[in-house]
Amino acid sequence: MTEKERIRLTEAFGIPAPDRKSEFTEEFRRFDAKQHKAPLLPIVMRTAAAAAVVAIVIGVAAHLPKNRLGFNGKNTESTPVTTVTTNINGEGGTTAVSAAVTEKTSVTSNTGTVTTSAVRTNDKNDAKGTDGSKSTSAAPASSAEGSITTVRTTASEPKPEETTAAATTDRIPETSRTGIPVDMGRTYKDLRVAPEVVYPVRSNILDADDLIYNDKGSEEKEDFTGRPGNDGAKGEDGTVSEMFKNSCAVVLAKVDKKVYTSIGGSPMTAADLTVEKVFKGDLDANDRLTVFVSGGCIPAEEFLRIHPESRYIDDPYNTSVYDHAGSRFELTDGDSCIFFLDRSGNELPDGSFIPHGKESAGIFELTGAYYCSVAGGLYFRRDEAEQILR
Amino acid sequence: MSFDIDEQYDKIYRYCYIRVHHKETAEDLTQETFLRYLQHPRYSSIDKTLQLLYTIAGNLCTDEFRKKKAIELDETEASPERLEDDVLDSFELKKALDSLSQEDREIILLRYVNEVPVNVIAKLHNISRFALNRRITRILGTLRTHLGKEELL
Repeated sequence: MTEKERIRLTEAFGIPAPDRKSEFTEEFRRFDAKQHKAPLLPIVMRTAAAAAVVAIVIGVAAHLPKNRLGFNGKNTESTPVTTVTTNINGEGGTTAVSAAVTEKTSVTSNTGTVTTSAVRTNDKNDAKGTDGSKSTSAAPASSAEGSITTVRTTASEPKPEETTAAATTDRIPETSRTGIPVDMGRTYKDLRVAPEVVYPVRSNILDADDLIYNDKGSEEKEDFTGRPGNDGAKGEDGTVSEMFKNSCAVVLAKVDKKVYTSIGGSPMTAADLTVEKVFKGDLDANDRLTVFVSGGCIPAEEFLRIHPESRYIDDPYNTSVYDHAGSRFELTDGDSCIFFLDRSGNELPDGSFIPHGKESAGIFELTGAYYCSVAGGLYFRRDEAEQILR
Repeated sequence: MSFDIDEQYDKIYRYCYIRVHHKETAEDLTQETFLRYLQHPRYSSIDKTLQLLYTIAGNLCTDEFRKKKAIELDETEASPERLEDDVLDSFELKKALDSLSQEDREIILLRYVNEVPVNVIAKLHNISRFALNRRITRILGTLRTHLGKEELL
């Protein structure tokens, strides 16, 4: 509508012009100028709201999980999902206090994603508590297209300490804001994996060497003699330095827990380690990992299935067969050993480690003042470790 | 949001006048509308400011209507000198506007004389913008029928 049309329409309405317009408009302007002050409250509220939004954004960005695991780029092909459940039962105390913590760590590296969940229950008994019962069982892992899910159950030692709820929860590793577990205020990588099958140790234990005719392992058994550099070393590493050079990682680690399993019919021991010191590799102190060592206990019927040439075993369903697989020492929980590690092959769970060299030659156990290879042949003085392992 | 008081005064006055049909009362109500507006918090949107002004004015007109009977505007009060000057079309247009209902005349005044945005008028009458557009179209059609021509003016 044009201005002319608007004027004609206005005239058609027949509205007379106002008489008191000029006086009122002047007065209105004075009132308006007097009252027209910028209200302070909306400005304050908007400023506060903007600050709150900025704080939330910064908070969310700061708490996003960071990529802390490298896996040496080996986790680019699969997406393993590992669920570890640890159940701890303590007996003998009447004033047991329980505390439970759920840990969940999600880490994305390259194209792979590792999710580790652990539920830990730590029971504490009173000072008079007896030895806690240990029960170890495992459910078969379900695996589908690069995904591994394992449930593992283990037990803890009863703590002869004064029972307080605060003390109990203090000992349980917490989960940091980044999703990476924190132990004693330090972060660590949880590289532990669970074997698909775990064999319990039965009441009767037989030595595999006594069941097999023409046991090759006994023929190759070597005594602990010689100095570093002697040809007593198994495998291609003639010296500790060569072994150090050829290993993927070298660490001083404590054996947290071991379980017996088998890979491709061969008895194996899966030991969970906590790294105490790193001499080589991309691991860090306090990292958790699993090393698969040749040899271990398997049920007798399983042994008979693999070795039909074996001698007769009476009551095989109550018997375990121990195969030392060339190792002179068996790893025990709580041992601190020096591990020369390599990445595991295809048959073992992805992310696990194996000792470098043949027959666990890469595991050195402290014997007196010497670190000795459990496979024999190589050893070095404890006080020389820092010089050799560099 | 500040507005041009000179412009809005005329528009609110027209709106009040078309409802109360009395010059002095319409001017009183217009001034009262602006004084009450000063007591309200300011809006940042001109549309909301206009809506507030027209709502105040409409409520004041309704109150005035309740207080006393509407004083019918004496047609001779404003007509004689205008009729001498107005062309026939304007007279016919006035007749056509008089044939409309009070509410329809308000809408035409607000939309085409006061040039109030459609969304503000829609909120004042509590109808949707689409309903208001349909209604305006219908009103213009009625006016054309009365004028007997295609063009409104």
